[in-house]
Amino acid sequence: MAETQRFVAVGLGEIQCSRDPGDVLVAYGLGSCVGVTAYDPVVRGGGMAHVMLPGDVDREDASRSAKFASQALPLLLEALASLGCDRSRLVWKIAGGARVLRVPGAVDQMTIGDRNVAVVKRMMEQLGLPLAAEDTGGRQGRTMQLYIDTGEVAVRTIGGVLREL
Amino acid sequence: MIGARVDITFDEAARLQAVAEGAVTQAGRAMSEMTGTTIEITAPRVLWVPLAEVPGLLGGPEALVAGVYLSVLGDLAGHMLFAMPLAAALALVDELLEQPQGTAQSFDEMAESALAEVGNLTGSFFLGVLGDRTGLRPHPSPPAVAVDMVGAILDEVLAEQGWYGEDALMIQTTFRQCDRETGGFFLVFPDRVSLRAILQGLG
Repeated sequence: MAETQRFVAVGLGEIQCSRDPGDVLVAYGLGSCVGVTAYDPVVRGGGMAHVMLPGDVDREDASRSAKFASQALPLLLEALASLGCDRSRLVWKIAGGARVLRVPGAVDQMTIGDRNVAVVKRMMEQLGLPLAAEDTGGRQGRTMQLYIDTGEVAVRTIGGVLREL
Repeated sequence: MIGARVDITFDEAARLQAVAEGAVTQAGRAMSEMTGTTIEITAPRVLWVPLAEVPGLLGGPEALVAGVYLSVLGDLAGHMLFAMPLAAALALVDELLEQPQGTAQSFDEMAESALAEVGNLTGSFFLGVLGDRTGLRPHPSPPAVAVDMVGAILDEVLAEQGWYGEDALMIQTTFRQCDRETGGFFLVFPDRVSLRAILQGLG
């Protein structure tokens, strides 16, 4: 483990990448949002995207933003390439996409969380990126962390312990 | 105290504070009638803050809160969230259900529905007062309840309507019954068009 850890918050719609072994990238309180991490174990560098909305997979949007699931993956790939990470070695993990708000008596339907997860997975398939692990759906918000030193990804829920993904 | 920034002037913020005060006073009266005891609600502080600062003001993105979400329908668009730290929410539920303090330990169906009613009343009166003063006719959706990290709740609220604006109206609320006091926050996220309509209507 690195001697000093620096927690780098990845805000709504943001991407953060690092090769500093002291860095821990964190998406705090993912609700329907999806956290996407990619890590290259050889150069020991990685990144995280905090995806908020599904977006349109088949349309090129003029304003490219990691806010949208349809655009976050290409943006994350670009950022990681400029850090020297090799696309073929990247280990991909995702967490989030929950349904936190409950409408009493309402019928469950396809939620934004479900759609975020579905679009992220579809984009990964299109780009030929393998998914190594996921913790998605359900009713609880999550905090997701990526340790740049080791590539470990941990997920925490309310009242729950930090567990490795 | 009023904190104003972006395109809201001090006068506009003061008018929004007046709407907030009128709404919580009426909500308190309705809750008093509901429970048969006197519950006084005040809004000592109204802030107009960037969305990014909201989780911090509520205790950090991982702080455990109970929240009630309502979307705004009709003449205005946006969303509202009533949020309280978990312990304060449980204390308020005990007051509303007229049971000894410490009875409600977690959010069961009864507690959720009591809290949903608090959010519903506050939201309805806020839109009602706003409507009376602007001539617009907004109304709230049925309430949705969540007990989770404040970041996770906000993230879903913002995603639900595509992240309209960059700022939120944050109304600090204090509930007083006998010698007990609990506090929470009532958040209003108007979309840009609605915010302009509100400010014009109040002007």
